[in-house]
Amino acid sequence: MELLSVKNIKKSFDDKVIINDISFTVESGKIVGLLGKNGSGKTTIIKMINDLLTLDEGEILVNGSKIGVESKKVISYLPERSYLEGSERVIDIIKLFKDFYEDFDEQKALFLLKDLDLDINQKLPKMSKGMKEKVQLALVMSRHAKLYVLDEPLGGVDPTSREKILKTILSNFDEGASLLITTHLIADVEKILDEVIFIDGGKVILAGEVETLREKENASIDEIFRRVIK
Amino acid sequence: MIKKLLKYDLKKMTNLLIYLYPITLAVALLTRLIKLGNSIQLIFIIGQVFSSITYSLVGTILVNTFVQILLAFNQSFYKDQSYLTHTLPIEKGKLLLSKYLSALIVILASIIISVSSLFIVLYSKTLMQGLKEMLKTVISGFNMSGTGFILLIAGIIFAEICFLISAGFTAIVKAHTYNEKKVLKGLIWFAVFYMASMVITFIVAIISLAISGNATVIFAEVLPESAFITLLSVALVIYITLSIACYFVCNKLFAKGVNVD
Repeated sequence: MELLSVKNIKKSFDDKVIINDISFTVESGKIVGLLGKNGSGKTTIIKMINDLLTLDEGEILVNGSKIGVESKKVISYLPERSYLEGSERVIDIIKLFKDFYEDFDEQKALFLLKDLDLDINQKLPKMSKGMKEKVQLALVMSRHAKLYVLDEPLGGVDPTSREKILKTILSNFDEGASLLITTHLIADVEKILDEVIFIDGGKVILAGEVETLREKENASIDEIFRRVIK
Repeated sequence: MIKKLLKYDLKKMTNLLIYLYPITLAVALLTRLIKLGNSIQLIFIIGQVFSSITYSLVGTILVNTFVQILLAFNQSFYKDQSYLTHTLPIEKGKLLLSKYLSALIVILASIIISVSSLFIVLYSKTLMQGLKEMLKTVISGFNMSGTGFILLIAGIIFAEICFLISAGFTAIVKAHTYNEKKVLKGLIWFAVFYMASMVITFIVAIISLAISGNATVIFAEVLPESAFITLLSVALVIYITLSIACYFVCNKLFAKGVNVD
């Protein structure tokens, strides 16, 4: 079943074309990597899926609905930057998630935060960037969503923590749910991916199932990426 | 849902004011207590210093009310916090309405605290008598009670502040329909809205005076009482209308979607 459908989307900032006629779909139960160099347009696409940027052209459907309240009910989004500001404590953000997301599992959040060595009574201003990213990840993975959209979840994390983050992601998304993950650290994520979409210059350069691509090119996804995107 | 949103919006808009309110009231009360010993020169001087501190705190409350409301709006809708705000499963109209209602509540609270603090510091029988006499003189020619006059003036001030906030919100939303120089464009749009409100007020005031048979007063040196009340009433209606109009424009722009920073 098609959970996310991105059809011929375009986005420009002033005269600069950032996204140029991109189309792809994400099926239920699949883990899809949206891969590209920094500045290739990955985050712009993710922002459009999450109603943070308007589309110039094209259409995005999530579970059959246009971007709006219904799509937001089924998408759990981890942005590349932290929205954890103010003088609140982690527990206050948990309450906020509980207030606004029907599918939020508070017990799971408490478990994940503990698992990631985070104190729920700690004040946000006293947390490092990496700690805030872990808090956000725990909150996002504590929703029983249909589509998890993770924008550079490994971006600000040290190499030793990446395994732990990937484990947290993989072991905490619902069966049948899909995962759309963007990263430029391809070697770290390629083992968990079902499908990949390579983006460069605002266009899809290559897309397909990971196994098929590996067999066809006789190389790892990381190597294929390096060949295709120069 | 609005209730939940209000809870979080009020918290954001009052994160500094929540401390300023009790401090200002406490300093005002302390000033009042100190003034009880006015006959001693040193205590009189200390009383004057504390009075000045109260006035500064009241000024800080008023400035902060504007700044905090506009900052909270901008941060919540366009800065890092927007990544959470816009991904909540809530209609954009409700998000906006909550900001407007929160702003109204904060403005009202700031006015009440400021007026109360000033009243505590300045209250004296002589002052009240003087104010009553002044009010009597002002309203002597009007067909209006003193309370009615005070309410009208208070209403105009409140409505003008609401308009300024509403225009500020609309200017921020309008500025974010562009990709560059959003702060500058926000300021320009705010100036445009404010100037437009002045022009509209002037035109409507002249039309109202003409309808009430007072058109010639615009050339008069002293405003007749009847024309004065007409102008005040027109100002109140215009500010309320413009505040609502700005809200609808803002809502329409906002519904088209946002482009966060």
